[in-house]
Amino acid sequence: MVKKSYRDKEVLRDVTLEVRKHELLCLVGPNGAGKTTTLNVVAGLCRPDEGSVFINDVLMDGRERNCLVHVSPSERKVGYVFQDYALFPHMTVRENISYGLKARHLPSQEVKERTHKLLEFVGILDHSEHYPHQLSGGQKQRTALARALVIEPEILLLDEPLAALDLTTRASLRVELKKILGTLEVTSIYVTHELAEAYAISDRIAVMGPGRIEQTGSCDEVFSKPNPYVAQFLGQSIYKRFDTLRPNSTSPRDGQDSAGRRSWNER
Amino acid sequence: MISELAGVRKAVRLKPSRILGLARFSNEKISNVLLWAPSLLFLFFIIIPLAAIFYNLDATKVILELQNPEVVDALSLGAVTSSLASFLSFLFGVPTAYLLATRNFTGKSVFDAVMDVPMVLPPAVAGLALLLAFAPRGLLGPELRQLGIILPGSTLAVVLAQFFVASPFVLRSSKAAFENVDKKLIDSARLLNPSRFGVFFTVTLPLAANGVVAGLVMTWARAVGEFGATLMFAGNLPGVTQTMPLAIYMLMSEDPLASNVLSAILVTTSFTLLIMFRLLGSGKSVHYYDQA
Repeated sequence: MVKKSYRDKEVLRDVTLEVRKHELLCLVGPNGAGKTTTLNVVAGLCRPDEGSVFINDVLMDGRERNCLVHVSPSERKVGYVFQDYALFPHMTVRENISYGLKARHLPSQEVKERTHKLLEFVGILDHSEHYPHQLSGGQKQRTALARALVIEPEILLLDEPLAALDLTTRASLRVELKKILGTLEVTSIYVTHELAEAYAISDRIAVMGPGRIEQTGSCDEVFSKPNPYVAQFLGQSIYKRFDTLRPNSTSPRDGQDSAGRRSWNER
Repeated sequence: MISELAGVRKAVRLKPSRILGLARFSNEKISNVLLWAPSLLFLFFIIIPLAAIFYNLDATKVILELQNPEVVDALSLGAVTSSLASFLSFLFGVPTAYLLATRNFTGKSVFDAVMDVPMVLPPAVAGLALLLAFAPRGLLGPELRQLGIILPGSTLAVVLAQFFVASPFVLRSSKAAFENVDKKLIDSARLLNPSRFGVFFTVTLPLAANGVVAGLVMTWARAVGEFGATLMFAGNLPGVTQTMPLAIYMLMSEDPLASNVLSAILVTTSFTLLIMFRLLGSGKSVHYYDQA
């Protein structure tokens, strides 16, 4: 079981989030809600001002017997796929993937085998000697995924992994990604701002408003019994789709936004 | 009918310059002239003095001078001291650049500004400042004398003068390079690599290498040409502190032709090295910055 609860004063006001073992939790929310910051806190790339983070019931960030605890990112065994992949441009695909193993000084035979296994698994063996700039968006994404998975992470963080791809690649890769994550049964947090994507891929959904988690639950729960904020967020994305059908409409998003927040605060 | 109308419209829209038959002064042509004229004049202003060095140069005289022990001394001394000065600049410049690029602390902007001062200081003033600081009667003179170090007149003083004047190039260039490394790449490396040094040497430094090397080349070139500070601080002792620029200056009155030959040798070696580094750098940078 993986638990995370912490408060970060500026970007994250009150985020309580729990990810169950082997599940894929989608973190959905508008831009600027703090989704990426949440991932960075889980990964240990930034420290929360308050609150605590647990991975496998082990304290990563927080206080224990009046001592401040902060486990460094590399010791958390966290896999992270960044939004634009952040592949090392001066290393080949193979070097990118084996980096995490070499840095931990594993025996070279093991490094070789595990890298090869992952190259094969994500289907990028043919491009293993290429540099990132020679790859297509989909290939970069697979490389980034393999690089994150090679250290056999306790938890995998994916920050809008499909956002940088064109629509057709996105659809096919989404299916493939779900298959890969399903096979590995790796606990994952998947950040997206698209509800359709979240619905297609997740076991559970957590909807995030500015700085806080608004609702958590299974897809059915969230979609059929949304709380006021989530209903408004769902409505917005429908409006967005409808807007394209009505050429002269002005977007009602802004008005909805403040109205939605007010009703939420009144509760 | 329609085409006729279009024709009328076109005629109406014609610019006054066209109507007056001034088409050859179109905007594009004027801007071309405004760009090319100063650029070419600029180029000539740089090229003509360089060409003048090689004009009338006698090959036998060059060979003769290259066998002159004093010239060989000056050449090798300059090469050794400026390489040492570049090495020192690397040793101190890279950590300082990394500190200034990645950490925040009080007084950082003052620190940063002070490190730039040698770049704008007149070299003669720099030499005098070094003298006032490190000469036996200078600010730190007594302490240095206790350690048995007397700087003026020593080769070490040449290195220090060059280091003082030329090191800001490495610092500037490396700092900009470190600032340009994508933070996300460093974050990815931190997640995978338990060692901070490992992250620095496998990701940060390789990605900043172009900037560091460019800075080193500039530093080296500046150190080879250092004249004012060296003359003031180290002096002009053949074989000990006399580098090429000093030798050229001294020969100006005795043997102008020899100083001409020395200049040609200096320009040729510096230029060749500069080109070599450029080629090396551009070849390496391809897969760094081609990322779409």
